[in-house]
Amino acid sequence: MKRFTHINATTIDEAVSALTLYGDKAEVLAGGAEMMGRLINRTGPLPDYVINLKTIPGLDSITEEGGVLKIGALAKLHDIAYSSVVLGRWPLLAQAAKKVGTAQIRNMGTIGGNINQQVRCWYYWAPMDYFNCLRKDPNGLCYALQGDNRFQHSIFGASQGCPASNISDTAPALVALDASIVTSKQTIDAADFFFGFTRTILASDEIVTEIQVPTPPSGSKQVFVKASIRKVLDFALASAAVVIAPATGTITSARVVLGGVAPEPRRVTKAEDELVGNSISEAVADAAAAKAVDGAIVLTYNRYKISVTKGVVKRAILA
Amino acid sequence: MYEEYYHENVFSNKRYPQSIYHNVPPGELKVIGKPGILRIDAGKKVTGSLKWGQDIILPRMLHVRFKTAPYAHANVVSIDTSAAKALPGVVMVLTHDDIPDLLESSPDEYVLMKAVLHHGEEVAAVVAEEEEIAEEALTLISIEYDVLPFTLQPEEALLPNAPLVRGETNAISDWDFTRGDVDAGLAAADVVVGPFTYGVTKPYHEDRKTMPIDTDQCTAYWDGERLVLWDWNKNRFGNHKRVANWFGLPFNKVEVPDAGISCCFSNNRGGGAKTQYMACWVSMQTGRPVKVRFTQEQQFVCKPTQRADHITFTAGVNNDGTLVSFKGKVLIAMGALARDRSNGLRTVTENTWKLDNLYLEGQGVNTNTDMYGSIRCTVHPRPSMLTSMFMDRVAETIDMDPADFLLKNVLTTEGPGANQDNPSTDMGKNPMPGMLEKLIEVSGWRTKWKGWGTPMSVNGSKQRGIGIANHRCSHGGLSNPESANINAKHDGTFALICGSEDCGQGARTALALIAAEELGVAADKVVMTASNTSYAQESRGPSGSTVTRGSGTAVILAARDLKEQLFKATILDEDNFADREPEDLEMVDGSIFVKADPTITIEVSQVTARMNNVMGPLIGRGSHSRGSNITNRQWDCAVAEVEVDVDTGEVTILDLYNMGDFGRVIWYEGAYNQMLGGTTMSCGRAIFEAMNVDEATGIALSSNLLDYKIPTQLDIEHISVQFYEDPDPYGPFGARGVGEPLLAAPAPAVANAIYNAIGGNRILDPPITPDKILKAIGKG
Repeated sequence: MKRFTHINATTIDEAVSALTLYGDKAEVLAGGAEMMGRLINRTGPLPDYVINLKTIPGLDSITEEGGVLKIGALAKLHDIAYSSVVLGRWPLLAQAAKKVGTAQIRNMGTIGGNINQQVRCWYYWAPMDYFNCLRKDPNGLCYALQGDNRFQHSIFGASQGCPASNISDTAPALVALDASIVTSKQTIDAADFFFGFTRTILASDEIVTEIQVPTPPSGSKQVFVKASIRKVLDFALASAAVVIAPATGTITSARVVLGGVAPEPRRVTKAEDELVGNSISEAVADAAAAKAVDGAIVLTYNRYKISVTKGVVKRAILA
Repeated sequence: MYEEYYHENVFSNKRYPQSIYHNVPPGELKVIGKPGILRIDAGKKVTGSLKWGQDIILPRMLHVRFKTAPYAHANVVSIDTSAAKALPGVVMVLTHDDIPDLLESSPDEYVLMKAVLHHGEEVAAVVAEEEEIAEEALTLISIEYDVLPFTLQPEEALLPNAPLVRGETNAISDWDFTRGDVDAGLAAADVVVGPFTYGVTKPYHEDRKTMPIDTDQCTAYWDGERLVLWDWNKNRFGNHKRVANWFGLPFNKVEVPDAGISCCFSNNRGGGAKTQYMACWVSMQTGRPVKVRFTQEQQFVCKPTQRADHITFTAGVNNDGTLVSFKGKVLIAMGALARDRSNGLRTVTENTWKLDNLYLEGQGVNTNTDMYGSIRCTVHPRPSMLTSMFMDRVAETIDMDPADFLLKNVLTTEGPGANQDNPSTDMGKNPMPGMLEKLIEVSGWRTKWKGWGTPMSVNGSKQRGIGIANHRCSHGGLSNPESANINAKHDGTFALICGSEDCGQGARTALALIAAEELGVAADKVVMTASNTSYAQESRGPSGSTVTRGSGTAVILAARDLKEQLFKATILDEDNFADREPEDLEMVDGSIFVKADPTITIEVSQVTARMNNVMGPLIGRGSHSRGSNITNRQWDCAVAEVEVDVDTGEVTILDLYNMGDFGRVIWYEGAYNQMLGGTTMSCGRAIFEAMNVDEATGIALSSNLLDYKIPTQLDIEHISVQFYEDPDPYGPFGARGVGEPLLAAPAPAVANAIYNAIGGNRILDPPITPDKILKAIGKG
């Protein structure tokens, strides 16, 4: 494992000052589930200074205030998956959190870390930076475009030349729930927080502190479906986060958001339009699923992910 | 009760006890095959207190890490080690010039390479006070390479202009095998199926690796007089002799203690030679203990691979299901440094099917990839899987129920290649067709199978299918040599010492049960102790699924030797027994008695308590040796039920009926675990496991446990463990070796089940991942 200097922050301000001081040599540490992998693999760029956020009190709370779910950035995925507050009105988020990794990873991993995680392109992750990937070096190449790009890559185009997908499970759920991300600088809609090549709009000295989720329309149906090669400890080939209201009868509002198939969670309004005004049926689900993959631009070896994507959307709608 | 067979040793003309005929009715067995006996180290394993090789930490210990090459083919031009040497805590930085030594596993394999023949080869090493310092120093070594063109796939490596891996040609072997007239057979058959080529994983590059619980490592300590080696590799006597020979030491100055050997699945390059050599060499240079450990990434890229066999099959079959003629041509990338191992197809075909006309040919090819080698068997499971997938297709061509097709064509005791039932040539009993018939019955095949490419049931996008396959290989025989000692303790308990170490499979528990049964004492009276090569007697070590039969035979002979000594001591010391002969006595449940008058009896603990006053230590010795290493013919067959989502391509294995050819189950829990482990591993090969290599660079992509996927309990919902027990005439208490064959049949059964669940095109290149499934049904 690469050696580093470990700094325990006790307030957000302290953490931000450390980020400011050490610049791109520093990185904040939440659960560490992903960063440890990079440090062990020596998959760069790697921090010389690791700023521990776990020592900041109160960042892991899960509460409801005036109908808004407030989750501290350091709340553990396990706690979210089993929280009675979350399960009450935001079951979509609980389902998505429960789909991450394994029990051990959910016990370590936080929601802040989950929405900020790195892409899972295996060219990027190759140890010791074997591939001079363009995510690491502006003069680098994308090896995945010509290589084996079957699994963790986009079917909706690349961002600044990088076709790796955003594979966070909670990200599409948060977008579907119209959540807001609170950072040390601003409060921003989840839909605007996730951003292509850089994954998020976070500045180098900015830290996510809280997630806020409004109450979805009452009587809504919320389903998260993830397709992966292995049942657990695997990343999404495609996932769908769906919120449909009301659950039965004529649909008045819908959210369909895809994960694992684009550089960011992909809200597909065309699919939502197929749902609104109709009630749930196999034909409506098929129509929405077909619209969900409208405009797909597949890579050499991932055309099958169109079917996977349609499959998860349909399964979520019909669940 | 017993009948012994002897084998004439062709080299010495001496007769050695070779195998022991056991015809013990199951009702008379006291400990063999009884459920509820825990493995000897179960408590330590579940509490995490067992010491593995990784846990050996010695005072003043140095650590070594390797610098590996990021190219598939290159020559090292120069290495600048000055910055690494300057890092505080670094003791040595070594290159090929410092250790120009060869390892014996291959003519071109050096401890540190100068010519890089595949990605990940070790070109330098750092010795440091701490492992982290060694790792940091690796980043300070700068190496200039002359990068060369490379070749990864065997077809390409044989082209006239292909880059040469080493030597004058990339073709390192070719062989063929002929029985009857295959072309005449094809001409005479009602239907010819093929030629179809299976196993070519292009454009993706997918091989199989093994996942031991720890990585290859070795700790060595030369204290100036004695070299002690705590090693990952299970072949301890091989390690012992090898390091003694390397460094010119007499055998009694080397010691290899037990080091919590994990199941390495035989996955050793030259027997783990690189870590061993480096640890010993550095310790002898520095006089300090040295630990050399592979990283997980190195475990993936530097340890042997079970590479994809590319096999082209053609078969002639009659409409009544008779297989008339069979042709197979195999091409395998052996990697850069392996000897040829391309003959697996012959092993799994020649004596598996009733075939009058058979032609096989094979070629091993050097490529710029890591070495082809063992992963719980070297060469059998992959060609067997592909053959079973093809045979399924043959049955479909004539529209015959595959179970009937197997029953009709599986080799029984008659026909070309049938078992001879002769201990000198063939150590096994053929369980076919009884074993297959039982599998068909217990799995409910007759009611579940709905026809070709036809699901058992459909629920939305989820379709269920069932498939069947069988397998035979040459494993589970007797190995050579094996030995065992049993020491009587004063309280009437017994310590068994055997050179065949437990490598996770449970040898210590199973062998102790064999000793207890043969001695006539309770199971908990015998413990097989962790041992050390300085006092254990030589054994070949666990390989070829032979421990239960080979070492088990030695244990039985040791137990008989000890019983005779116990009886002699009883006669000498106890007035009641005076004037009796040892053969007049017997021991049951720990009591020695006169067979003719069981009222004359004494507890064995009373005899052992006084043994030093009577005869001195009582030590039973047993060994057996075979003139040649003839192995068993060992069978496995399986039925798989799977569910496939035809939208997402996801596969769930619902149930796996894996029937193992056990002869007789010795240790019930251990046998059960072997079944669960083998079945799980096999399912992984069917649907997940792929060591992906980038075709453009030759660099490994899935060299981690996230991308190289092994199954979890959620992926296989149920395993129906099936023991087929037809006692074998030559194994201890009728046992046959099962470790390796168990992982062969489930994989093709799963592949065939997937086909029946979804129809479409046959998938020829396992692992059967969602991309291939959806492509096969026109969705990819």
